[in-house]
Amino acid sequence: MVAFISKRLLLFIPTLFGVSVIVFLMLQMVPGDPVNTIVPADATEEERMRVTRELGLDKPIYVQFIFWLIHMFQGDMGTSIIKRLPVSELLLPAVGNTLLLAAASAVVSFGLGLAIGVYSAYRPKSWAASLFNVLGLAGIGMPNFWAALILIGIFSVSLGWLPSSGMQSIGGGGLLDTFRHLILPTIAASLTTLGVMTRMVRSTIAGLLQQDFVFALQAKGAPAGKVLRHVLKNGMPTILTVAGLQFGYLIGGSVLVETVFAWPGIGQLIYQAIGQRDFPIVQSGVLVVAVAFVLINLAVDSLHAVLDPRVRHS
Amino acid sequence: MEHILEVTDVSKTFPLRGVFGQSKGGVSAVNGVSFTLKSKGTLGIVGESGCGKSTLARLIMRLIEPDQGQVRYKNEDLLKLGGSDLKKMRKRIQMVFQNPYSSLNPKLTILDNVAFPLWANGTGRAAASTQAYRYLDAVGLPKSYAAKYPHHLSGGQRQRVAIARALVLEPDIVIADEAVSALDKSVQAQVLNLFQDLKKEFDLSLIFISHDLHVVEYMSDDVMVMYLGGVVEKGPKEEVFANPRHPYTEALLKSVPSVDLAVRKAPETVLLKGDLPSPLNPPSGCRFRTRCMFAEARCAQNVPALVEVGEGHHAACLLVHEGMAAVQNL
Amino acid sequence: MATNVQSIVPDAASAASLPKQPSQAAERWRAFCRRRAALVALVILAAIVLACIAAPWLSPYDPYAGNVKERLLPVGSAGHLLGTDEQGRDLLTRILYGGRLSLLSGIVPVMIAVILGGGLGIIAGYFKGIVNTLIMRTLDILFSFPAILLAIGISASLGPGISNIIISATIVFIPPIARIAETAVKEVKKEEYIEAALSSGAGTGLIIRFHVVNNIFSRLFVYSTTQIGICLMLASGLSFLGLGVSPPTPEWGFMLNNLKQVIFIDPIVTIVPGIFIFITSLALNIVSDALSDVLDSKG
Repeated sequence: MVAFISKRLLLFIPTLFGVSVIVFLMLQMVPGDPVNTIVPADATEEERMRVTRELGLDKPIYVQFIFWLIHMFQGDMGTSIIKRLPVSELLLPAVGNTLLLAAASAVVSFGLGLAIGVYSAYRPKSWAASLFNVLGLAGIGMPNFWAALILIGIFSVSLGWLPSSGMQSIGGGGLLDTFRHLILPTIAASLTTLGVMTRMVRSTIAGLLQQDFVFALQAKGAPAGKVLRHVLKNGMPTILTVAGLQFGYLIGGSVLVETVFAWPGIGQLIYQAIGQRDFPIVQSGVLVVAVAFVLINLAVDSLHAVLDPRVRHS
Repeated sequence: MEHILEVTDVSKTFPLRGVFGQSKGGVSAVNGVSFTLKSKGTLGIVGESGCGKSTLARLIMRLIEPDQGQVRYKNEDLLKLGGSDLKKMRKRIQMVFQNPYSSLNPKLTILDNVAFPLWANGTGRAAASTQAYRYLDAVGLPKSYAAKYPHHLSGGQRQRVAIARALVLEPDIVIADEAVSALDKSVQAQVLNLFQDLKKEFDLSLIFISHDLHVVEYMSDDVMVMYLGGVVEKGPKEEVFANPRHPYTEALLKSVPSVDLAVRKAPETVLLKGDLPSPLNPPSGCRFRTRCMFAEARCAQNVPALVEVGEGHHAACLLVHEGMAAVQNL
Repeated sequence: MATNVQSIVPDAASAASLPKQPSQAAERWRAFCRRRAALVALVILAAIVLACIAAPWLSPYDPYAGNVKERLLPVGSAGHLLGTDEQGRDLLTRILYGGRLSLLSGIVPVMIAVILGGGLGIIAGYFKGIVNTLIMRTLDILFSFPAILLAIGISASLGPGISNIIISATIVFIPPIARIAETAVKEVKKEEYIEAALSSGAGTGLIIRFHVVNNIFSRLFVYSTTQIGICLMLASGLSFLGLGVSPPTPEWGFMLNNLKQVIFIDPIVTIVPGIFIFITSLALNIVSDALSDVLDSKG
């Protein structure tokens, strides 16, 4: 067990390092001199050199990289070019908002997915199960930005029930207001995950129901609820692993839904920053999300190993 | 020449590695094996699973590199060859593998499977096909099979293809590694007869590896018995089968449920005690001592060398001279 | 067995020839057709692809220019089967022309990723050791990024344009395809026919060409078809964000971007381009699901 976790941790560190290298390199590929975004067009050569030296851009690339890394470690992510605020100040609330959306989507899709999946596994031939199967496939194939647009079209524009953008109404609102703003984005973001979870839970549970231990329990006269508990316990490692990975996708893939709903999450922040060429935000934002993704995968792997002894000894 | 292959003191240990790459000992698969193969003769190598006979075959062919030893083919040490010399050598010694289901490429036609070794050695497609047809014919498969795929053929037919493939480079030596073990008994007979016919037709020298004593007895001129990586007895077939001098050989012969072998019967006597030791930790001295009825204290201290006990007949047992009486009294 | 044994079973090799057997491909096609949903999906897919290819012959309209006076006509209007967009251009025409780019950006990245990723996977799986570690660890790092984020990052660095979308998408799909190839090659390497090929003195190139590639192909093929639908959605998502084509070029994702702005005037106009993305992606998923069923069961 310890060997397993320590081996994973050891791999984790070079992975993080590699991720930061790639993020750094990505931004190096952008055409154009970043100095131009700071310095006005008619600046003198002297001014340019001054700013270049200030930003450390006259040093060789690997030195720049090391400086950048050190800054990151200290929590100093630079300053936004456009907004003139420290990046970390902008990132933190954005991350929070994305987490809120991701958590809401997770609750909806895991909860519903579990319920529908279990039901479909128990009544595989029912029309409901067939319907859910088709809907599940549809969910997986549905582009979330399109679903978002349709939801806005129906519920915001035509029916006027729910707000179409932002996290709060102008002038601020209470919890209920935020909740109302959360509904449509959550639905849009959950669709794919819901599809994946429903199908996966169904096939996992259906597979387990065929196993001998279920027959044994039923033969002993165990009530259905008890059988279900045992089946769920057995299915948990697989289900939780997939759920964890999906949570990672919810966080990392939030860009499209956030953009459509103008939800002030990190996806929206990064996307806007790209448009405005505000590179400190793009760099730090991508890094933060990627690191979060790696961490989630590590946690999911470890959880899987804890729950399922077979994984530890493979 | 009399001996076409001379193998001297070949060994191989497979190292074991722990989680972080540290060394955790090793599996001693082949330990100091020596033998000779007579020109145009057949050497049968027999032993239980795990005794190292398949590994030995791969060491000779350098599919696995030996840790030490010499393999002399026509006075050239094969283990010292490199590059294009090694490639030329490969043509001289070929192998027929055990599993007819995984020894042919399922995605190539029968003809291509047989022709491939020729492509690998620079022969053009057309010439290779002609040659391949010749050998398919030699193993008794009609031309119509050439365009089929392995999954269309039965196990016995596939082994014929494997034999054709082994012959297509016109080797001097063919090693059959459990080549009939996966086949039904009725098919085994056909394939064994095919081997005999081909051996005569193409002047082959054969090394026949099997755990089945019947097969070895039928095919071989000389026999070599292996146990846990080492040679315990070797010599002319009739000699070894009629006069086994190593307790293991004796036990093997007695455990075969057939009347056909010239062996004295003593069914009540248990000759093999206990289980096969782990090759990770072979017994000190004589590796067979933990299961040997006659084991004495000195068997744990000294590794028995192969001692001559008859004309061309050797056995590796410390008791082989004094213990003669004990074995013969059974 | 002291003398030559007479076999009881008649020599199988003496049979004149094997009975006529249907080819593997025919068998598999029939198995595929038994799945009705997959067949329907395949037909729909083919229809969409053919229609997009035949765009100039199917539609009299110009996809780039429109009559602003006729903007945002609803579906089913006279002369405009699917209505018009915010600039008065016929939507059906733009869908057909746009489909070419969208479909291309769904298929091309996967095809290139199969060649590049497959090649990398074969090298990593065949040579093992440090080569394997280097290749697989680097690809793992790329794989640690959420797909859309990686694609956005690369697209942002490269700039807008459909070829840059194709490049980003290719990079996104190379790691998982390489991993599939690597795993498959490691399994194939254990087979005895590889040993046999080595013992005949064959060089690495020949072995990979004749013994490795054809034995991993079906697994690679099946996996990559499942990725085409995902790639289509990824590419149209990137276009939707404005990282792809620029106006007035039609493309399904980009059209959604344009129409998004008029959603308050005409809430349902956004359905049209999106539904094509949806149907195509759904059909692709169904077909590839059925393909993997049919091909996997043959081992």
